[in-house]
This record gives sequence, structure tokens and C-alpha cells, in this order.
Amino acid sequence: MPQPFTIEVPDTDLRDLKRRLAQTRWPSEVAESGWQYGSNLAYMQELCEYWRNDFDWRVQETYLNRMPQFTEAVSADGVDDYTVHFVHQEGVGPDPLPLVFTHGWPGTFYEVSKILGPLTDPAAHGGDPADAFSVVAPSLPGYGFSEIPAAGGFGQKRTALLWGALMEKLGYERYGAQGGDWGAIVTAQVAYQHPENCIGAQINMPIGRPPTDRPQEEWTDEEKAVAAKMAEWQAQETGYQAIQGTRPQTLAYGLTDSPAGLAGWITEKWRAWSDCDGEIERRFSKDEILTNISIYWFSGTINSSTRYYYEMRQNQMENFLPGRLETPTGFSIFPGEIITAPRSWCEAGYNIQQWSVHDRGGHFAALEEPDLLVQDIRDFFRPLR
Amino acid sequence: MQPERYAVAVPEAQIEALRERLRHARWLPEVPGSRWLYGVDLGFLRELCEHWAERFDWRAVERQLNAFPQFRAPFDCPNGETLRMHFIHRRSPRADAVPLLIQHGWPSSVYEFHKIIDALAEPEDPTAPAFHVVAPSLPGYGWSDIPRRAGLGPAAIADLWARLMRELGYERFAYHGGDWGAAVGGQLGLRHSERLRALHLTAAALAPPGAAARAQSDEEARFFRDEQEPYVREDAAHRAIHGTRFQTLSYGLADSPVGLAAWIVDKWWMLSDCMRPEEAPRGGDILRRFTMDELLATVSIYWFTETINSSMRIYHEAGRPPAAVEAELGGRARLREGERVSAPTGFARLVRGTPLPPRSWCERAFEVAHWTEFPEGGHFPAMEIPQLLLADLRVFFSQHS
Repeated sequence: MPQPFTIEVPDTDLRDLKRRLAQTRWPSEVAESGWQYGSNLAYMQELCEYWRNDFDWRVQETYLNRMPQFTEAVSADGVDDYTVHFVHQEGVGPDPLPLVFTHGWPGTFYEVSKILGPLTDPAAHGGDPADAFSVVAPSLPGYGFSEIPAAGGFGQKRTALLWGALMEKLGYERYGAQGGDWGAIVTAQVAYQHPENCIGAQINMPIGRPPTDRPQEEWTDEEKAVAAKMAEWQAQETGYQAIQGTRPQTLAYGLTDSPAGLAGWITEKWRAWSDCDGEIERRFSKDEILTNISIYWFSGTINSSTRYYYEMRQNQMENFLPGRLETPTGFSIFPGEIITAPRSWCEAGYNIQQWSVHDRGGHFAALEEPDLLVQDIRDFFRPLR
Repeated sequence: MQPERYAVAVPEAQIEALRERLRHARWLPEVPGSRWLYGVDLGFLRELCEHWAERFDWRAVERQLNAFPQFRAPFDCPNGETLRMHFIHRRSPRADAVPLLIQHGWPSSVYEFHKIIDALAEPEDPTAPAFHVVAPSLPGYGWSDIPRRAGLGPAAIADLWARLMRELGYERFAYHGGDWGAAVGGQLGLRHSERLRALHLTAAALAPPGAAARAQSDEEARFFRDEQEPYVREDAAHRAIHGTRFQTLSYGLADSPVGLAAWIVDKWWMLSDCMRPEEAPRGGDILRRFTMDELLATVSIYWFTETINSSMRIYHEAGRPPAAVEAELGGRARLREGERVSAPTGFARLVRGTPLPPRSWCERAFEVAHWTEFPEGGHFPAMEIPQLLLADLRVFFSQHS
């Protein structure tokens, strides 16, 4: 039986955090460099000062605890009794469809917070009760309040198998899946590994492979533009993947010991990957940024969360889809997305039933543009119900 | 240039503040028994940091450093700033001594050379060559000033050191360096070849131009496939992050001594000859090659001078090659057509460390006059195998000075 779970960070942890923030030793910075070399010093000082003096964790904790949370031991892929933390809210409607939502890095289950209400109770949010979902939003292995794996091998395929076991334990035999970032890969794997149970995968980060049957000269302008964007991404923006994929623990010592270090590492990504025109607070308030970072801090999971990249690198063949996903798949395309692909590159790997292109929003769609994402999820699953 | 005498003297309060941080370190949860698989071993780092907090004697390191004459001198730099550069200048009493510049890299410091400086300046054997030794701290490293603006990559640093040596009265000089020290040496070879007697390098920081950078023999192909490519894939992530987003990384390393120690010690572990073949690539025992005190001397220099962020900038300054050619060039700067280092160059190949291509490949970029295969030792030979390094420097420079 799932055990109800409530976040209750001890006062001593709150005091320890504030003490560390008060004693932060700041790095130097290249003059007037903005965010060119990473998280901007003046902004990080402002953010950490807010974290210490103005941010009220208890308010955010109460907000998070309004989402019904549980832990449950599940077994799959040779792993016995792995404890998953998850949000679980039953739908309000004539026939709610179960939906497993998977967050990414550097996100947490907090990513589900804005879409949970509209998905579970559409009538209360101006929608049709026939579109109701019963939402399950687990914390990835080693993230948030899921158990920190005590062994290697907890990659994306295993995650999908664990999610399947969780859905089965919850009594859900027929369900959909949704996610972006790691959630995009896990969502596709959930569908791939459970073709009898998962009726559709809705994904907000398209992963496709450039065509091999046409030379580059024959590519469309869109294909050429995407290829150029991905080459630039690879060259300039993937240092975090390199280190998290090879030496996550070497990196994690400083991020575990220093809240400013943790905030610096995460905040850069929330700014760079969101559709914020370089102004992070156009998309996220300080409270939102710090609630997510605080979950990493209080749970002590930056090491185990970055290890997820190592696990992917160790077994890419198995963790990416091993073959074409025949389950109906929907894609939501946001302009600020970091990893993207034209529809033509995704056709080979997915049975695409929805390709919904938006004019605003970025990598953290569930937090940035919850209404657009909810609409896509409803539209995609409506004919599949 | 007005060099001022300099002595390292860290205030007692900073030493005590460091100990306090170490005693309150918040440690990460590891995968039990994973040792070095995912990065620095938690058990080892805890022991090291406990030693740092409770037994390590920083004042002993200061005494070692201050036994050498040290100076700081202001330089007008190409980025528009006037910056003080720190250097050890140990003159030899011998009339026939040859000027020699020795340059550390990352993550290291002038401390790397403390075992060889006196022996270079005053060899016990009167028939051995003697050297006037100059060992500068790279800009943004150790006790050299932190540049506020960009613009000080290996080429600019080579220009600065050519001026430094001239100001010290050394028109022509010999040079030794590995890592970024090899990059600066290569630039000296390109830009100030008339000033160089000879270059002694443990890394080839320049790649031949164009197609000449590609493998041209089975031996070269094997090198790129079996050494270069695995190194770039598994061990060079620090370069990827330093070269793009060093500022993002620096918050945790500036604020957390255990974070700093992990980031630095990872490289001293990975690049040193501390693993038996059956223990590679993620095992071994770093204490076979360095004492805890030696490792902590280096980490402490970065901590007390607050230079980890500025030290990483050189990766960006040097210009990171696009990912597509990264595996081929391995972070090396590519020469233009017609360029080649004409100064006689000696290479010393270590058992471990950043991969050094075969001699035939290096000959397309450098005038290779000497090639040594060391039987042991890694990326920090002046610390790991000082006697072997001294012997090689003496042999090479007595032939080419």
C-alpha cells in the first residue's frame, strides 16, 4: 500500500542553510560579462540573499504538500523494493485516464504543480470533465524524495520499468505518459516497454535523428537550421553533460556543500533553457527558482540526480529507444526548447499523431506554459481514450 | 618593470576559517563501494579533508615557497590592464648558468617545481648544467593578479614572459612546461623563436596545419583511436565545462573547500601514474605518487588565493575547438599553413597524463631534437619523478643550450 508522504524539513536544516548562505565566499568574475561564462555574479548574490532573508520554505513546503504525495516500494528490472516518491491525484470526471508524468533535470516533481489541477479536474479550470486525468508524477530515481539508488544501473529504461510497476500497483492497467527532458526519454520508454498498458506518449522535447538517405544539400531550410542549432548546442552548451556523464561525483562535492554552488549550477540552466529572453524572472519568480533548488538542497540529491547522466552514457543503446515506438505519440514544440528536431526526423522513430507547434515557451513547458501544455495533453489523448 | 620581493603569508584567520568550513562540510551520499567509479572516492576525500582540517601544516608550505626568492612585477597587458605577475627567480651561482623558464599548468602552481628548483640552480655535480630558474604563476593563478577583463590566453602570456625574461636580463633562454605550460611554450616557439635556446615539453599543445594533423601512419592512427579518443570521451569533461561555463562551476568551488579539493584532486589522481594496469581506468591509489600534504599544498594555494575561477578561464581564452575536431586535436591549437616551431624541442613522454601523440606527428609541428620515454610518472613529473625529469632536462639542455 502506498504510504502517504509529507515533506517536513527539520528546522535544523533550515538554520544550517541560512548559516551557509550567510558565509558564502563568492568567486571573481570577468568584468561586464553578463551570463556569457555562466551564472551572473550579481544575480546569484541577489538570489542567494533572497534565499537567506526573504524566501519562506515553510510557505513553499505547504504549497508542495497540497499535492497528495506517497511513497511505494516497487520491483522491476531485477530491483526489489525500490522506494518511489510520487504525487498521485485522482481525476474528477466520468472516466479519468491515468497519466504518468515524468520531470527532468534540473527539475523535480515540482514541475507538475501547475498542471496538476487542470489535468485532474478540468471542470474546475474551465475545461471538459471528459478530459480528466488521474495523475501520477514520480520523482526520478535519485531525485527529490525518491530513494537514492544504492547501486548503479538506474537508468532511463529501468525507470520506465519501475513506473510500469508503480502504475500496476496503483491498479492502473491502461494509461498515458507525458514528459520533457529526461521525462521525454522515460515517457517514450514507458510506452515502448508497456505496449499493452500505455496507450499514448505525449512528449515536449522532440528527439530525432538527421536523415541518412538525403545529402545535406537536399535538406530543407528548417532541417538546416535545426542542424546548425544542434551543432551550436553541442559545442557551447553541453559541458554539463560531459561532466555529469563522466565524473558526476567530482562535481557534486561542491554542490552538496555549498548552497550558492548548487544555485549557480541550476540557475544557469533555468535561464538558458526557458523562453525568457535572457531575463530569468520573466519566466520564473525567485520563489519558483528557489523552491526547485531547495528540493535538491534539502534532499541532498544533486549527486544522485547528475548520476542519471552517467547511467545514460553507460548504456545508451538500452536507455534510448531500441526501436520504433509504434504507440501513438504526440509532440509539443516550444520555441525555446534546447533539443529539437523537425517532424521529418522524428517520423522514423515515432508513430506521430500530434505535432503541436507553439510560439512561446521553452524547455520547462509545464511550468512556463502550463495552459498550452495542458491543452496539448487533452487534445492528444481525447481520441485515444 | 619594477619587481618587488614577495613572500607568501596567509593570515591566521583565513587558515582558521578554512578549518571551520572543513569541519562543517556537508557530504554527499555515494553508491556504496563505488570508490572512484563516478568521480573522486568519498572515503578518500573525507580522509584528505580531515587531514586538511586537523593536521595539514600550511605554514610548512609557506616556508617551502618562501625559501625561494619570489617577486611580483607589474605588466601592461594586452587586455588594457596593468597586472602584477608573481614569479620565483632563483639565480644560479654558476657563471655558466643558462636561463630557464619553467611553467606550471592547471590545476597546479609554482609549488609543482619546489623539488627541482634548487637542483637546477645548484647541481651537486659540477659537470651538470646549471640554470637561472624563473617560475611564473600564470595570470589569474596563485599570487599573480586576477585579470578583470578577457584577453590573456597562451599567446598573450608567451609575450608577457618574453618581456619578463628580457627585463631580468635574459635575452635567450631555455623553457620547460607541460599542460598549459606546454601551450605557452608552443606560443613562445611560434612568436619568439629567436629568444629560445630550446623547448622541453611533456605535451604537444600545437597541432600541425590542415590535413597534416590527421593520422599518417598506423602508429598515429592507433594513438588517436586508443589514447586520444578515449581520453576526450572519458577524461576531458573539465575542458568542456571550463571552456564554456567556468563561471557556473566556480560558485561551488569558491565556496566549498571540499568541492575545490575534489575538482583538483580528480585530475592529480587521473593524470598521475598511480594505477596499475588492472586498476585502470578508475582505481589505483593516488597516495602511491603524492602525499596528502603535497596534494593539499596545491589545493590550499587555490583556496587561499581564491583563484579557481580565474584559473579556469585559460581554457576559454585558448579557444576551444568545435566538438567535431575535438577528438582529433584534443584541445590543441592548430598551426596555420607554413607555421612550425623551429626551436629545438625535446619531448618527454610520460606513462600517464594527457595523451602525447607519436614523435612522427609532433615532428610536423615542432623541430623535434630529443625524445624520451619515461619508464614511470604522470602529468606532474616535477612532483612525481623529479630525479628522472632533472636528468632529462640536463641531458637535453646540455646538448641544446
